[in-house]
Amino acid sequence: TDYEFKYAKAMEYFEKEDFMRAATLLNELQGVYRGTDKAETINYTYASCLYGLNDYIMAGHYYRQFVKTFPSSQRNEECQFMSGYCYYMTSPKPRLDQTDTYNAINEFQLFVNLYPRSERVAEANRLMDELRDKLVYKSYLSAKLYFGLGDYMGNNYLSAVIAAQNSLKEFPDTKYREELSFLILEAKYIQAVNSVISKKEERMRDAIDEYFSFINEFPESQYLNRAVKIYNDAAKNINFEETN
Amino acid sequence: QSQESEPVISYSGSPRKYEIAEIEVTGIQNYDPKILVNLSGLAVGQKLNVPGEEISEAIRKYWEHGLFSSVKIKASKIESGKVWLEIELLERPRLSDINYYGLKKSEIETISEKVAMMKGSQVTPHLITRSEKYITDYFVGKGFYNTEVRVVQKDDTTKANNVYLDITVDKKEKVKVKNLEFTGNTVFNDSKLNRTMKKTNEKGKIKNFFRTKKFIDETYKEDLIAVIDKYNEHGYRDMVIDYDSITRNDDNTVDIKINIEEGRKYYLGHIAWIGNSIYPGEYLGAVLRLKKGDVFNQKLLDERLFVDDDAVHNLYMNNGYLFSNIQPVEVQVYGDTIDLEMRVYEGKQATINNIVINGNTKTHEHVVRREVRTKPGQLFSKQELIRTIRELSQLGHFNPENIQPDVQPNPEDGTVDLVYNLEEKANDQIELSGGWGAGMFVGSLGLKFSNFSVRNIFNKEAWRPLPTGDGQTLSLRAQTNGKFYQSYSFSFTEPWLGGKRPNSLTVSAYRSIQSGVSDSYSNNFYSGYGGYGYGGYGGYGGYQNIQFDESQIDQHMKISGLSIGFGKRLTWPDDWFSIYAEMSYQHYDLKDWRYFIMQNGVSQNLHFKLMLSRNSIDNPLYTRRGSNFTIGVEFTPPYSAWIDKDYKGLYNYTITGDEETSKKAQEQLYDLIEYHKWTTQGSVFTPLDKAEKLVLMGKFEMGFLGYYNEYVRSPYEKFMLGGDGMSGYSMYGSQTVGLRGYENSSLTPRNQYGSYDGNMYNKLTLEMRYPLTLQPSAQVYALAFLEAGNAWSDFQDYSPFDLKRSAGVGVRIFLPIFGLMGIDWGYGFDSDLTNPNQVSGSQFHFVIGQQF
Repeated sequence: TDYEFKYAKAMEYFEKEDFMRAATLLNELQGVYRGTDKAETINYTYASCLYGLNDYIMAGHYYRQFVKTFPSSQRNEECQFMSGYCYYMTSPKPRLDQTDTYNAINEFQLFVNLYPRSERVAEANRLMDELRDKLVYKSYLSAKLYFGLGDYMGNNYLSAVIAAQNSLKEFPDTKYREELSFLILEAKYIQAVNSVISKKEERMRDAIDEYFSFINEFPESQYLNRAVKIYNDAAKNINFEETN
Repeated sequence: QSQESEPVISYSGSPRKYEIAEIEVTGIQNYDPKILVNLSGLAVGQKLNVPGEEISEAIRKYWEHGLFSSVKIKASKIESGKVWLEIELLERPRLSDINYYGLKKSEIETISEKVAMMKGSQVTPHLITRSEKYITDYFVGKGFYNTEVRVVQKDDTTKANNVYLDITVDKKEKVKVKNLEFTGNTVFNDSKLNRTMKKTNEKGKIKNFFRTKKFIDETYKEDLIAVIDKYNEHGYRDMVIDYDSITRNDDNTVDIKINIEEGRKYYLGHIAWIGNSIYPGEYLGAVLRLKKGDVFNQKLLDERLFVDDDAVHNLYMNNGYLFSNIQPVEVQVYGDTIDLEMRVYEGKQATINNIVINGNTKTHEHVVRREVRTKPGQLFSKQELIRTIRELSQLGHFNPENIQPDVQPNPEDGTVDLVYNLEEKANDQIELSGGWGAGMFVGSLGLKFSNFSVRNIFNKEAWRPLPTGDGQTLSLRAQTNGKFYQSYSFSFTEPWLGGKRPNSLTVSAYRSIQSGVSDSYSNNFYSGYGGYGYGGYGGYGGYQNIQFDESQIDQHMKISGLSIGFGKRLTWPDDWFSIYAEMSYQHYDLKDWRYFIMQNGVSQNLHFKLMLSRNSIDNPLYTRRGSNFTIGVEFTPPYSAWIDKDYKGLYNYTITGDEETSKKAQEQLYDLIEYHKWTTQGSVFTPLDKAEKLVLMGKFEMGFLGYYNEYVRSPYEKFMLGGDGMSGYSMYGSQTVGLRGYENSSLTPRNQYGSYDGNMYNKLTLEMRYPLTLQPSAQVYALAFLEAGNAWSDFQDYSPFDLKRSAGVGVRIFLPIFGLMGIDWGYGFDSDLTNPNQVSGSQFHFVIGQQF
């Protein structure tokens, strides 16, 4: 019939990577063949066409739809991966809303859990690490923002410390660990310097503790010189308090 | 096969077990039989009882799907312990189309959107009842209390198993209220209660002229609650509406009777505070502002406890006690007195842990985060949360009607996460206009990017279509009509210079060239002034008719300017204040420019400007509350005090000298412009109704242009009062001030040579605004205004109460790309200076950009 011909044509276009034509036909056929044995192929091909057209938002939507509609399909492994990958493609730069980054991580995680023996697991893990690093970088930026605000309308050094610590708590093995740790050290020290006398000593000691754990973890840090300087100044401060 | 007679199944004996040999589905065109079989839960090879539970269950499953209007399962053959099943299904009809009868086109559109029946979808009884109910409710809600809806299903003869739905709606007439009667009321008289019922009013009464007379059940019930509230607010907390009756009359009206039992009036007794440790009870009592003997008003009590900005609970909420709670308990009622016990649960102080910002799909996070006043490590504060919402809406990058903070407490570790959910809105503006005026083309192109990102201009990927996200403002504007007028301007603002403090930097530059005839000058200036002796051009009447004399081409006024400004938010006297300092330089080059006090030569204007302002408005587009005050001074160095020149002599030459000497004298006199200029303005916004829709704005403005030396009075920087307040051609060198109801600049006094000479002005405005829609895609509000103002040449003439008055109405539309546009109609009650003998009367004004 007419539809059979369209179906054949659509598959032919898809093979030739003429995604635009294929997608137009498949979009129509989707409704016609709902509930038939062709539906699986149609839905899968449609999602792939959209992916080929770089429409990652809709492609991701149809991949997820596919996984839900055909839970026992052979193509599920690929579609689950692709649903994460489409989110990965739409995940914006770290300064913007990261909803899609979280979505991508969730979809990849689901993929890794469902298909632990898939050959794509390694790639899924690599992409997840990349996405997580993006999230850490985002929180690093916000910690740095608070650090930069300094004493503008309140104690922003404390905010910087908390923001950085939260980030380290959530992503302990990030590649920004050194930057975040140093930021905490520096913020704690400046906070101590700006403190009232009653809190100064405690905060200096806190900064010194921070210094020791920092050089312990990063003995060859690129911030070593600055860290040592902070330590010396802080130590002087405490000695000064004590000699008084 | 079909010839075989069907087996007989006995329902009286005990069921027998069979194995399913085959399942066949009949009566279906549109679905795959395999899948339909799967739906039943039955499978070939399965053993089941006949008759038995499995078959019933299968039938139930088909019914649940709602796709079929008939389901039968038959055994077509039974043989040697095996059964052949036939599932006979009848699909529900599908919808071909819906026809509406008795409705207007717009009503059909609204309704079909809500009824949401798709062509090709199954028609179920539920769907039909639902749409009937929806349509009835819709019209009853609009006052058509007797609406009748009939839905008729008709077969589509062109397509098997398809139907049409004919929906016939008879709205009948609107039902109005004839009599509204109260009984049992002694404390409030009928008319007071009547007024309390906002939307239920008797028809045919003058006092209800502007009020709705329709009877709408829903609003009637709201009004009953309003009556109860009114009693409760006055201490009658036992008051009940004993009964109310609605009687239908034949003439589409209803009579309403409401019987009230008022009960007694109650007063507050002793108020005890328990559970409070941080604030003493006396202090909490003082903040509550209610005391023994006051009328017992539950609403006021709730407001003072929880709702008001300075409510008791906010003492706790602004200080980290997020988990705190106050429960007013009536411990004793004796006579007409109620003793209260305020049970305070203080809880732990909550510290802010994470600040999450969501929804910024275009704006970079730091632009938002640096404005957020709730920061990690601080105590939770409701006040700061509300202030943050205000600051974020003030940015202009987000939909101010949809900033949703989400407070996520973690009671176990005493912290709270705050999530700000935002919705980006388009904030760039494009102005492209062209027109045919005075026989020539006038075109202008203006671009304003409010969320620019300079650091990304060399990043190719960021150009989509422009680098955005850093909250910087870049505006470019060009305007020309070809030979006679050209103007270019550029301005850039970085709101947080260096990213650490909200100190703004603004740089702008512009150049404008006007030559010969610019129609704006000829029309404005010469109308009514033709033939006036003006310098060497005395008697040049009828000038407008020879506008394009090519010899005028090399007459020109060229203005170039450059300015740099620095703004700083202050924390003292409070943190709504900010200060702005600017240095700017202007260079004027005039040749035979007879439309101005000065006609030839070069003037230079180097001035400094300082502006102190306090801005606490809640929303820049549709402002509901808050105020905005500005006081500014602009001054040039007092050259005349430093340079030894015969200013008086030069000045006299400009008046008494012949054309040549006068020109020369002007050139020397005005080469360095000097003046000092003071401006101040303030506006206050107050919501007038509970829903905070109707807003009143009051505004005053004043300006004064002074001089250091009476012989060197600046020909530039004067005020032009009257009209729409739009500068039209960007007239650098003067400040346009609108006053609706009068023609542009028509209230500006002139000097003895006929050129504008507004050195001071006053203006007062009172404006009511009401929003028609506040969607981000288009914000529209209507307004009505009263305005008064005047301008004077000399301080001696200044009389602040001699004002030109006007009133009018208008509408403003804000579209994301085009910015603010509007039209006002004003009526000037006084005469302007061009036609001193008649009142200004009716005037229309078009407004682009934020003016009033």
